[in-house]
Amino acid sequence: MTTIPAGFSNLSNNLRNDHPISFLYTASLAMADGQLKPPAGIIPPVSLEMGKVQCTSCHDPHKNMISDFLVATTRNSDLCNSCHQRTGWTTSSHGTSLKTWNGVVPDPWPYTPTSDITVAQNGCESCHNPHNSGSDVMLLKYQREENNCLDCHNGNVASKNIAAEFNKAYRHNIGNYTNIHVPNEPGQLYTNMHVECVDCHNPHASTNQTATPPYAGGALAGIRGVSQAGTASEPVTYAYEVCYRCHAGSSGSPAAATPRIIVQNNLLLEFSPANPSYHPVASMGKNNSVPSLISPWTTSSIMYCTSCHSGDGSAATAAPHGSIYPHILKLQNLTTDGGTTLSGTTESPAAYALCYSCHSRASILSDASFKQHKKHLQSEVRAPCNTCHDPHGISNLQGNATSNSNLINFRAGVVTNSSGGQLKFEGIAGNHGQCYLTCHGKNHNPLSY
Amino acid sequence: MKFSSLVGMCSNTFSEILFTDSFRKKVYRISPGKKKLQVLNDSLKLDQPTGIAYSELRGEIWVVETNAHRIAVLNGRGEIIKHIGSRGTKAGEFNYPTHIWIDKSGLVYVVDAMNFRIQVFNDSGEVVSVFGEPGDASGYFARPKGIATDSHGNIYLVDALFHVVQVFNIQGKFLYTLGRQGHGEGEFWMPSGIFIDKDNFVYIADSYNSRIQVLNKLLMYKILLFMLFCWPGLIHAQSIVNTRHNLSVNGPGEMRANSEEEICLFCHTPHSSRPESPLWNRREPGVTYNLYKSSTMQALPGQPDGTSMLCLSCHDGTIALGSLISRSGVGE
Repeated sequence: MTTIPAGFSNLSNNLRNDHPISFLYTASLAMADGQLKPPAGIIPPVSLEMGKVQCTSCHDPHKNMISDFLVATTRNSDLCNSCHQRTGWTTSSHGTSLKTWNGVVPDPWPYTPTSDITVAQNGCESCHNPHNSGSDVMLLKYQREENNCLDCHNGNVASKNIAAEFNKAYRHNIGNYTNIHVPNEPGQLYTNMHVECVDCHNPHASTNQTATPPYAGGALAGIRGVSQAGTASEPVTYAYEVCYRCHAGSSGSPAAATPRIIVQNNLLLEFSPANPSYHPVASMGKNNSVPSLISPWTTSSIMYCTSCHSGDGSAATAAPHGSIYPHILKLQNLTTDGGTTLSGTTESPAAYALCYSCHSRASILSDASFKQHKKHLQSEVRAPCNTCHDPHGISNLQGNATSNSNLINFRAGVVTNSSGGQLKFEGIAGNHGQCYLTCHGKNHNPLSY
Repeated sequence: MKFSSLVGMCSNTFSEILFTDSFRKKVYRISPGKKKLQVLNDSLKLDQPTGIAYSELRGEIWVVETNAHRIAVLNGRGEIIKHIGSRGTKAGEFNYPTHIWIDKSGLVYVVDAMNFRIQVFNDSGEVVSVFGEPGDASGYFARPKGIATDSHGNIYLVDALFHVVQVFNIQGKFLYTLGRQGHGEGEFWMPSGIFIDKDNFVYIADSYNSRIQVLNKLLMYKILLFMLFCWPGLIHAQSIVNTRHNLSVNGPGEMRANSEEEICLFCHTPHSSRPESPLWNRREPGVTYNLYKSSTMQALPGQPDGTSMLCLSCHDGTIALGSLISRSGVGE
């Protein structure tokens, strides 16, 4: 008779990828962990041996009534829940979902009994494997973090194919990083820049609960973030707090998309309620006269980051997984400006589909607010919205209410100084204003409307 | 006096307590009021005395000699009247008998442990009935231990591996299971001895829980009702026999011995075991394990210890499954 053959029963002397054993399971351990039952709550059939977790805590070598000599079924996470009490788990989608696998390989549940057919039944083992796991980290099935999610979220189990979203040209590139994310990393990611599914989603707590802006919906339940005040927020209350983890002053956040007169790349500053203007993500907008708004949007509406930044097409979720449009925008928003030439963007419903989805094209082109919109957008100038408007907002630390209302922050390089050496906009009450600048070869010194 | 291996105990009609020490091979007697302890008949020679019971009907002391596969019937002074049985599988023969119980009518119930059966004798030592067989399910025997009867003639048999008490009627027909594995009320962990008094109070030595549980009729009904509604799956227990851990030649798995028929041997041995319980028959692998680490783990696992080492002595892949301390090489 030889040694035990290679396979799942042969743990080898590498217990790095096995659930830990031979440790004292004490009340203080449970307290420090925060998501473990106290030892008094460990009741048969699961048991401690002289106060320690041992093989026999989960296995009874004399009885194989369930499978793998387990003392309790792993179905619905029963065995794991004997000790582990993950916050939010019992009401989470992963803890309750009755979704089943459509049979297209790979099998998302290679290690559980074939009789466990739903996500809820497969429970913890949908992602974790307590012995000889694929990843040493958190005993996950696969080394690459996202693979643990995408074998269900590829259309084979979950209803939306998120894997397809991540194949699009513009995306949060989860495939770019491995073993950088750690579960207890800080809310603010200023170093070790990376992005994984679990940076925005808590798989133990996520639900399909809907919410209205600015509140975080179920998909973001139980995740950490950064508040508008710049402090840690865990769990997040508002959806934008998740985005602030990386896009509020981190060294690794992407460079500003458009070179502007006022340079700012920190969302926390761009969306500050103290700002002269901003899209209403963190608080209600400053401008109470926006005639172009399409119902149900009003000047008191709040929007999500994902109102603009989310997957394109009807198959996508309202989340910035991936898009065919730059900056992971939901719809097209062309930004090419011809500068002194007329080779900019030809205005059309499609060219600025993103902006026009809330701001009525008809209203814009009828010059209801800025009296020269049509002229600037169409044949005479062919400038895109983006040349004059900075869509996130202008920080009050850099701009002011006179020059930077209405999201005005000109594109540097295209818009240059006037003959008087000035480059600014001055807003005047009642949708009037004047510009000091040179643009497309035209000196505004100033030009008023 | 220090006793090494106290096993059985009973009382006689004079309220004396009689008990056995299987290592000292003696029966001891404690006088009423616990004033005096003495050896019952200094010249009495017994081969591993274990179970002991007093026949009120005949004034006899019946002692099980486990290693001799027989029962010694003694008179009140501890002198041997006769022996019953020898090693074998036929009715009236034994294979490591252990516990014994004698009811008011003089019927003798003997747990014939390694034959996985109960033998019932009349007061003169003739076999009246034999029942029981090894198995996984209710009514079968896995590790039969203590036995007792109530005033209705129902037979209560403790099973240490099922962690329950199984109740049979006087004909040996299985009636129901009492309890389940656990630490709570009505739950047992490796129960061993049992006693039922004249008022049908049931006393169970719940060994691993280090306690004695006393059940009256009401408590038993409560447990039974609770079991019926809350633990229906537990009515059926299972033994190691049909699992991959049965490494004997009859085992169901791919890994098994060529000829060895014993099952327990691959992990346990009654003799020459490693000092740790439970009677381990495997060596410590002696390797250093690479341990799980996690940035969020508060626990401090050290090198594996406790019973996990017995598991790892096969499951780390370093020691051949048939490489044992006692009878090494059986697996070849």
